[in-house]
Amino acid sequence: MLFNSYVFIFAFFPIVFFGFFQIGKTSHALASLWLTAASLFFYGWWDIRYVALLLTSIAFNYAAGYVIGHRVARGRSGFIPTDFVSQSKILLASAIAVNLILLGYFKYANFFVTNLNHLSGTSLNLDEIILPLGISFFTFTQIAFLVDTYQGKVNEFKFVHYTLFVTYFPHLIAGPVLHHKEMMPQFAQRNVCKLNWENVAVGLSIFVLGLTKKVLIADSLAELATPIFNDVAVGWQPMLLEAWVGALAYSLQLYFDFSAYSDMAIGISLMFNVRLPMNFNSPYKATSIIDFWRRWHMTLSRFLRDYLYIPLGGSRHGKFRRYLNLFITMLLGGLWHGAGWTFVIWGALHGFYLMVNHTWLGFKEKMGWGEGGRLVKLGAGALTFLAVVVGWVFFRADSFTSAMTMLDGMVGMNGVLDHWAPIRDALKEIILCLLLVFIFPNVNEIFSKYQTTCDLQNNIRSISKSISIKIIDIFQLLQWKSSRYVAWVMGFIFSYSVSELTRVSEFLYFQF
Amino acid sequence: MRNYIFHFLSVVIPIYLVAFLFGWWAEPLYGDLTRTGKWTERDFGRNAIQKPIQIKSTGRFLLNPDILVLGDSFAQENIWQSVVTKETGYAVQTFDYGKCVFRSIVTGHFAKS
Repeated sequence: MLFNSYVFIFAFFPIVFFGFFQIGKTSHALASLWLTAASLFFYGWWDIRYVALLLTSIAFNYAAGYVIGHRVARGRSGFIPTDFVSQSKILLASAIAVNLILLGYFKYANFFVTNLNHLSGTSLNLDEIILPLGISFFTFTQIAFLVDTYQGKVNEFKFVHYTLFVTYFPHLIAGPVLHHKEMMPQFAQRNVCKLNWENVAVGLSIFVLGLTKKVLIADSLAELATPIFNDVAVGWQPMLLEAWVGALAYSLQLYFDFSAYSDMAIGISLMFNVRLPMNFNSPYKATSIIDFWRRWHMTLSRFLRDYLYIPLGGSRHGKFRRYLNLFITMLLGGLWHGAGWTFVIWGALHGFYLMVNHTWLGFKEKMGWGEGGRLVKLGAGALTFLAVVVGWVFFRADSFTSAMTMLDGMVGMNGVLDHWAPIRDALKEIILCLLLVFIFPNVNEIFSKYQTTCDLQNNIRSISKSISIKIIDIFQLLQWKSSRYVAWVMGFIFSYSVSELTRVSEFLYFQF
Repeated sequence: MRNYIFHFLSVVIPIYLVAFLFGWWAEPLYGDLTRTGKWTERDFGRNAIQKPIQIKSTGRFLLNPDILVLGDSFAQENIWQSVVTKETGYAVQTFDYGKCVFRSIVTGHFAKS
């Protein structure tokens, strides 16, 4: 089920919402159960057969976590021998391996067999394996739970709350990747079942803005980007402006699509008094690649840092190992997005970008150079954006050859322009969207007076290095207020967006 | 904040009430007639059982048709052409656009064969 569908907006959500608070008046446990059942229904709407897979994965990880957690707790209390506790490490490694095998089978088996056949000349054949929706997200969420448990960070083992934590429908399909420690306490709070009008008003408004971004902006940009990438896939060679229209349109489509999904997930969850972590913070305003990864898919970056980069050694073993660890982390992060060489190349490219960025920072420090003025920041921001757009070409293209054809076009190797009229209209749309991205405040800034997310908001503000031209009036004008005028505007925006839902399209991150 | 929700719904509910009532009156807004012709389904008899239509054979062998139809799946069954012939007396000749070439039609080769 999609957030941007009639069945979700007019049937599923209202029923789940009123049911939750109505049941919550009498029983917190039953309300949690209701939300869990609703989340499983939400997942089963796509394909009911995979609910069993999801539940099996949950049961397995819960059992593994339960055993590991209790052993660790007893070990710390001194009730059992230390070597008995160390067996927990083996259990943890085995449980993670099972998760990765499951993910590997569904997501990478066909990719592996195809490449094996290509390299060795064999003709192994696997039936087409359907990728269960959200498997990358619920697998990562549960691996994080297992590791947190081993590290003694998990205190609660209520099965219903655990199932809810994994299946909670606002995040199940496309993230954010949640931490057990930030969600379970929220589910356990008694007043989570009590209707909070402020949360409903703020959450509803965030949801409306997300819906608008998806329906009115992202889907329109897809109409520009998709034909260009599709034509390149069948051998067309785009000219300079055509290639740039394709690359920029896709970069903006992905931005608005993912940002829309994140907003809708945060908004929906807030209406249930549960705050999700922030996942998106104007990434195209970043002034370096390091800054970009602190703003784009923030919960995935956090996961990769905590559960891959740091266990690999992080920056603890010298400069070379640090760069190698960064590269490996980004390479695997790329592969996480999809079973294809273009994703691997995209990840490797960002690994390389990060290495260059860290080297540059070291060089700057050595030379005693400061941050630079506004012009320097604008230049850094433009360079970062350019690097990211080049990366998205690999991310979107169906093959390495197609990506190179696009890049050839972007440097003008196929000529500059053939027909001006269609390009002119496309450029108008792209420029308008770029203005939205760079000048207007993001949702976090619009709702900055309210706590809309669970933990990261203050940190995010402190690392923010915006290159946007902050026109104070626009920022003040667009600050959300609970006035009747804002409510009416939101009502009209919502009604118009819903009337445009005739061509429902999936979110791009669903495929990952 | 409760007022905010009230004002939000005071816009949304009337809009959807009007849209729903109009859709209910005009028959499904997503029907083919609405989608392709901007006509309401209501005007074309969905509220009553359709009267039987005597379907004539398609005018494939007419040499001098009054109306030439290059049709798609809507035209293949010769239903609406039968009604046109009955009501106006015009001879209608129908071709499936996917199965003939333009030159065959204009030269009359298709009709004569």
